[in-house]
Amino acid sequence: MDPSRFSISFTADPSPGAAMRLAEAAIGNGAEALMLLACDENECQPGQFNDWLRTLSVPICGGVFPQLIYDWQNQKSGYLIIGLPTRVAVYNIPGLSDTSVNLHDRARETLDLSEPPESLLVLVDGLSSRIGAFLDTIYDQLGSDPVYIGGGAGSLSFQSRPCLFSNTGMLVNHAQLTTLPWKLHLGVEHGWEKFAGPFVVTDSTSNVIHSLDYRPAFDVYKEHVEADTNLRFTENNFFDIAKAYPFGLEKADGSILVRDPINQVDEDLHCVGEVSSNNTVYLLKGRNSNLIEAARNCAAGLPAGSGPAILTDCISRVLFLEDDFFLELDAVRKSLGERPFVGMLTLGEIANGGDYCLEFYNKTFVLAGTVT
Amino acid sequence: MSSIIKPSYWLGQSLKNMEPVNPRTLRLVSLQYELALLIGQHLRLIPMLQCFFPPALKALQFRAAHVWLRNEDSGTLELSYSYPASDAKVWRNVSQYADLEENLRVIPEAPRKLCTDEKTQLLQMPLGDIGHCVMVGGSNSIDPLLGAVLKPIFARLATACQASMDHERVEHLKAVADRGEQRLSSVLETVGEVIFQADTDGNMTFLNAHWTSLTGKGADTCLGCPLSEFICVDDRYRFLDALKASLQDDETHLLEARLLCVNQVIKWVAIRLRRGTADTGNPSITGTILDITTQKNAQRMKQEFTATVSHELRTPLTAIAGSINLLSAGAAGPLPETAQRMIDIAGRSVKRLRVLVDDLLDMEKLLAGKMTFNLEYFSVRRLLQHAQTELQPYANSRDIHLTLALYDNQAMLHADPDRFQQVMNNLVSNAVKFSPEGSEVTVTAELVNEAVRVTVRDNGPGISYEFQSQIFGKFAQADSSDRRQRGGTGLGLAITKELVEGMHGRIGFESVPGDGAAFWFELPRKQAQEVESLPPG
Repeated sequence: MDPSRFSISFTADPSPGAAMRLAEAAIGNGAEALMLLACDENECQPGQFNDWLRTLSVPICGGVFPQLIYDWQNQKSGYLIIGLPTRVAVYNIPGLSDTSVNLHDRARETLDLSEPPESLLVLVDGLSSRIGAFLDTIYDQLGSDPVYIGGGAGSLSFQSRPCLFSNTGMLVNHAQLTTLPWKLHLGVEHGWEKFAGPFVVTDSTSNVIHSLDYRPAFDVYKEHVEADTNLRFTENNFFDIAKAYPFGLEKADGSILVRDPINQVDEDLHCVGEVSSNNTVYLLKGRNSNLIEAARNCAAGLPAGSGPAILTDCISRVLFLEDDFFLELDAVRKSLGERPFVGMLTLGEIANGGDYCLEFYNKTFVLAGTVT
Repeated sequence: MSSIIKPSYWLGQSLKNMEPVNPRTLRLVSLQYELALLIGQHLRLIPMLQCFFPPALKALQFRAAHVWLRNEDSGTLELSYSYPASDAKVWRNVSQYADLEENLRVIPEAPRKLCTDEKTQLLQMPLGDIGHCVMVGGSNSIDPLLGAVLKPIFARLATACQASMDHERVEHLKAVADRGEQRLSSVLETVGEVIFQADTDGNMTFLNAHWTSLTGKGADTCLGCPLSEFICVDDRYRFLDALKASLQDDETHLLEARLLCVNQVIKWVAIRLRRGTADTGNPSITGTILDITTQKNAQRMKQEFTATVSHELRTPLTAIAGSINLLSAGAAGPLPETAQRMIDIAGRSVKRLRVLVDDLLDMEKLLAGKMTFNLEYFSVRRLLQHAQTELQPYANSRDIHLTLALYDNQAMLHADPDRFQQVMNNLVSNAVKFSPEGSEVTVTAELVNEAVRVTVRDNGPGISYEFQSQIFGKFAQADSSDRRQRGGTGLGLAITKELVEGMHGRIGFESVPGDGAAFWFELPRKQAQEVESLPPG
């Protein structure tokens, strides 16, 4: 596949007009479909975009993310427009958090794929409550053959608002699947390490942990985290501390699935992604060097090529690494070499890691590249 | 990861005095715990597996699982579940994994690894003796201990699968039973007659909705009451007799009675009773009640009309017959031959009309229950000899030899002598009518249990099989040409049957087409000395 047929444009201008101009230019240059990525700081409003989205002549996918990656830097403001050389199918599935919606039936009604595609871009409203259940549903319907990559869109304010772009307008509480006709290679790494546990999740509801080892979840969490750091939890600083101390669910092969606690309400811990009752979890902590090494290893695992690479990286890694985040991107650059590279800093990452089931990750580095 | 992890509070309390746990062991034990609690989260098989496999595969780092279960009918293993469902097509196209086909057809005794190629590894786990599961992973090597760790988990999963399948089977049977019950309930409520059940004392235990439509009384208020309470006093004993009789055999007992409804309305109903078994297993009565008031009223009106018309016809017929007889006897002087012939024809026609009117009147009287029987004990021999005397002339006129054979001269019949004679007239005249000239008609009388059976046998053409079921019906004649050829109203045998049954007897016949017919009737009997010892009156 000719990589020049992908067009990648970026503008730091947060105004909707800037995005629309880039998009129209991409269509003018022959793009058959568009991927529109926006920064949360732009404060995109449906009223500003919906009329334009509905009149587009090509399929559009994408969303609003805390930050974007362009030119090997994280961008806090602006838009990334990717023009795709072939027409793609975009499916938008509503009701992600609505417990009265049967996700299985909803997905079956919406997805009219006779054959599963080579790859799928899966974007979700990152603040929805049934992301894991939704991913299980589409994996069940589409199978293990496709490569899945994606992440959670939304705002670091954790306020729910329309965050996905579609041909019907901006969407909230939705999931979006975009078929990609290219086989992708995928790498998934995180670099976080166990330091306390195991704890049994004795009570949870979806993405909220109520108790650990039959004790209030926040009490257990606070006890171990404060013992490891000089910081103390107050009413307003939960995520400032918690960003460095995620939970981890250990797999049979010793690998860890990270779960990011983002909020504390009374004794409950709210995470990005579901945590089931009876799961055994550990408390994790990270070192900058380990996180950066993980990113390097992930990039090194990708086959060489000239096709574009796309990154979904967790925004909380940026918040954790802070000024060292550029080192993570630099490590990737050195491994990937010169090839088009774009990324989203997301609220949770989606991938199937090639040999594994489709998962919703937190605080994880997911990198995909085309084969050529 | 080789460092020892500090146990949490929960585990720490338990392991306080123990050596720190090896991380690999801890990991595998935790895995067992998590997986065990995923099993049995739903009563139905597929939802139960759907609750188990997605989180289980993620924990185990496999990408797909396929479950084969034994088909209870054929005994073969069938692919019953796949996660993701979309991957099932791989196994349906078995040529892709042709080498594995043999492995998939049998349940392994222990967990085993199967390799398809360097990129795909399979772990096959037995599910008790009901099937097996194949989990599909990538090129990462599978922990050698994993099979042993998962063995008890999959044994438990097998138990859950069996329980789910049993539950679904029970649900299916229950659904079939429920549908049957709904169908029955629908029929019970929509059918146009009362359906009831009663205990052996006749107290009603079930009534369908039509009871209220029929009687105007609520079914709930009538349950527990005896059905006899709602039957008119005059008919109550017959009902109780029928109820008692229905408990003795497996026949359906039918009676017509009058039902007391709301506002003192009385309705004629046909009640059917049959012995059954209640839900409790105790004997019960099941029955139906059909409103026949309209039919009864129509029947009564018809009978009254027929009786009135017949009665009105009788008077002028008597006058006509009288005048014809006088003319024939020469009351108006000798008649020319032609006129005499015409008078004879008219006389015979009037006679036939009178017989028809008499038969009609008799029939309506019998059906209306207005025929009276003067039942007394008479000597069989005397009754039959009298009948033979009366009928001999008719037999002689057709050159038929009429013989009488008695097997017990001492038997006494309980009968009305006039009606007995009428029965004999009908049966013998029929036998003579249908016998070829010169043949014989025999009348025999023999003892049968507590009755005397009188049989009239002829050597005529017999009765066709098609006609035998209608022989005692009103206006029944084998074909209409008989009426013209042999005369008769077609009411004779119907009247004969009513007369015999009115005298508490029974009637029947035997006939093979082409070999004559034998009509018999039985009436109650006693021996002469028993009759003498009866109190007078």
